[in-house]
Amino acid sequence: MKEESLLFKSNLSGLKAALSKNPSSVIKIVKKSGLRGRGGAGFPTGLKWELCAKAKGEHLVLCNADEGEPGTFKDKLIITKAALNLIEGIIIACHAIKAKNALIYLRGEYSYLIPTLKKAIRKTEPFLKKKKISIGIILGQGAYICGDETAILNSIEGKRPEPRKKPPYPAIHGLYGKPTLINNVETLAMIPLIFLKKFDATKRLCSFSGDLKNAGVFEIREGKQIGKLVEKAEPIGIPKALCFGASGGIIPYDPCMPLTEKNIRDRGAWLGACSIIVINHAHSIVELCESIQKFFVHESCGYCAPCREGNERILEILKRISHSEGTMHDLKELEELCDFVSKASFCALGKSAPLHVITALRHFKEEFVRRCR
Amino acid sequence: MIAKKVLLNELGKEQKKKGFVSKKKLKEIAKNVCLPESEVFSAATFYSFLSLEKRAKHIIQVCNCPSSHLHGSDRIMKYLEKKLKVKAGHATKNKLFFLSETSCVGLCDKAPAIIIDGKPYVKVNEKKIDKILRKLK
Repeated sequence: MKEESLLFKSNLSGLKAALSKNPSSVIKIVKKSGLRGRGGAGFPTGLKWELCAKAKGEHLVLCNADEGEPGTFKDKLIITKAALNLIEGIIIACHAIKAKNALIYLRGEYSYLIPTLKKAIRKTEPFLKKKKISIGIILGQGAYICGDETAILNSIEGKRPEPRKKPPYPAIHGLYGKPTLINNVETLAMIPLIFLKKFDATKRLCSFSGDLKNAGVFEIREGKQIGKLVEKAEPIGIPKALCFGASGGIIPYDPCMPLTEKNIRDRGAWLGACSIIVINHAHSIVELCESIQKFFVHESCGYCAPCREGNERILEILKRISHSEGTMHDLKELEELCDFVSKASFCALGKSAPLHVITALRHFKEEFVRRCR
Repeated sequence: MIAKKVLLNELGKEQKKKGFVSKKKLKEIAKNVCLPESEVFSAATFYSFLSLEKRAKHIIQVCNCPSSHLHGSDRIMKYLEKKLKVKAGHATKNKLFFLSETSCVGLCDKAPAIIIDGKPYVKVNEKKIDKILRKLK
C-alpha cells in the first residue's frame, strides 16, 4: 500500500465545516464519532475535550508530537504527508475549548519537520487571524519520558521532565496550572475527517517494522488477521514473535489471530501506539529483551527508586542470562523484580518497562531456561 | 505567545549553533527565561541532545531500537568503535568524532539507522559507513 494514500487530505474543508458549528456541538460530534486517543492510552477524545472545556481558566491546546516509542513512526508520516490535517485538528480543538494558544511539542529527532509544520500553519493563517489563535512549536531535546502527558508539561515549563501526580489531570490543571488539552498527532489529524464524514473509528495507522522487507506505516482495520497484515509487509524468514514497541510486550506470532486490543491483552501485552515489530526465528528473544531493557535504563527519569534502580537490576540479570552466565535463581529473581517494578513505579513508563520481560517469560521461557545453568 | 519564552527552545538553539551550551550562556538563558540558574542547569543536564561542553566536531549516534537491533545495530556499533578507535560514549583523541548510542529515532522502517550531526542515514552497512566517514574528515 502506498503511504501517500493512507490519509484522506482535508484541504481546509474539514476545518471550515467544523468552524461553522458552535463549540459545544463540535464537542458533541467528536464525542459521537467514537475517536479515542491514538498516543497509546486510548482515552475517549470527545470526553477529554468536554472535561477541559468545562474547567475554569485560560485554556490551552498541546499537540504531543514527541513520538518516542521505539518502533513507532506513524506521527512522522502524518506530519510529512498530511501536516495540514494536523493543524486543522489543532484549530478545531482551539475552537471547541475556546483556546487562543496552541503548542506543538515536536521530538528533537524530527527537527527536520519544522519547515513542513510551519508551511501548514501558514496555509491556515486567515483562520488563525480570525479566531486570534497562535500556534507555537517547541522542539524536544531527546528524552522519551517527555511523551508522558505530565512530564511534557514540566519540560515546557523549564523543569526537569519528571512526571506529575495525577489527579489533577492536565485537562483541568495543566501547563502553568491552566486547563490544557493534550492530544496526540494522529488523534488531532483525524478531527477534520470527522467533520467530512470520512472518519472510521475501526481503522488506525500502524507502524510495521522488524524482520520485514516492506516495513512501513499501514492503515489497519481492527479484527483483521495479523497474518494477512504481516504478509503484506513481506516477512524476512519465518516470523516467531510480535513486539509492540518497547513498552507493549512480546507475544508469539499466530497468523490466524485477529488483531484486536482484547486478543493482545489476553496474551499479556498491550497494543499502545500501534507499533508492531516482527521478529523471526533467527533472533533470540533474550537478546531482544536485553536490548529493550538498555533503552529503559537509559530513559528512566530517575524520579522514583523502583524504576531507577529496578530497571538497572533487571538489565544486570538479563545480561547474565544472555551471556549464558545466569542461573535458575536469577530467572526467579527476574520474575519477582519485574513484578515489583511494574507495580511500584510512579508513572506509566516504569509500570510498563518490565512488560517485555514479563510477556517474554510467559511465552518464551524455554529460551531463557536454555541459557541458564 | 508561550513558545517564545520556553527554556527548551533557547537551549536547543544554542546547542545547534555552538555544539554545546557554555556555563556563561546557561546563566544568560536563565535570566532571559526568568528561571533560577540551578533549575536551568538541572533541566539542561537531563536531555541527551544537550551538552555543557563541546564533545567533538561530529556527533555520531547509532539507533538502538528493537528494529535496528534486529537489523544489526550492535554490529554497526562495534564496527564504528573499531574504525574510530573509540568506545561508545566517548570522543576520539583528535576530537573529530563523538560516538554514542541513541534511543529510537523513528526510522525503524529503514533500520539500521544512524544520525550524524542531526542528519539521518538509513539502512547503513560497513561499506556505507566508510563512504560517509571519508567525507567527514
